[in-house]
Amino acid sequence: MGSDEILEWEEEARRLRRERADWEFIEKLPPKLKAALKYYIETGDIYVASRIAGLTVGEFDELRVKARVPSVT
Amino acid sequence: MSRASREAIADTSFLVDWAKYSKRDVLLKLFEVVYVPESVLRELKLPPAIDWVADCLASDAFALFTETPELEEEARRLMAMSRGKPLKRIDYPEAVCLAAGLKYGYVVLTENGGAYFAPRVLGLSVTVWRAFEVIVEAWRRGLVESLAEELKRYEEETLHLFRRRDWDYAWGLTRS
Repeated sequence: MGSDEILEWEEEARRLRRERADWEFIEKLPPKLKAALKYYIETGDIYVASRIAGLTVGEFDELRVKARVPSVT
Repeated sequence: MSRASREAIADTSFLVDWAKYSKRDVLLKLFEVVYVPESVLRELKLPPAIDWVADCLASDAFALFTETPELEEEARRLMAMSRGKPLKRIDYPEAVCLAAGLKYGYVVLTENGGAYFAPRVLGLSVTVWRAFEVIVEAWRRGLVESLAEELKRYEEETLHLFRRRDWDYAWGLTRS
């Protein structure tokens, strides 16, 4: 497993999250939730994103689905 | 993949997606028990995940896993190891699952990229499966009919996308 493959994996996942996200919905959210979703879109890290949002992981996942951001692994 | 343990431990990132899948109970046919750490359970508050996990705990298909101080220490060691590597950071809930997988031989069920790549990047002797590997295994054991249809169903029902390489791998399996 080389670092190139991991970077390629992360870039593909990030691109899919950016492309599929409902940006109109995201931009209308309160700052905390918007920041958390943008963090998730860039990193795919649901645990830290949920902490930014002040939600549990399960609650943040509901927000992710509403914002049409796919999880990609 | 088929020689994996009959016991697994699941983190939140796996459970919140998997619980939305209409064929989620196939997991219960692959493992004798799936452990759910207390730190993971605390993150589940909404259906369908909390309802399904509670039902599975009630039927003994799942079991509550209580972290010990030694396991927490190992989890923090793994988190530290992941820093500075070409690897997504491993957060505490995933690190607990990896530590338990290492100590007890459980298959780790996660959708966290850092945890998924950890065995290869950090040289850990632990089996890590995502939903992709679970569905492939279910297909190999004849628990689902069409691998491609099942992967597509999972994508649609959970808003979870599989990588191009995974799809290529799946196509290769079905053609061979």
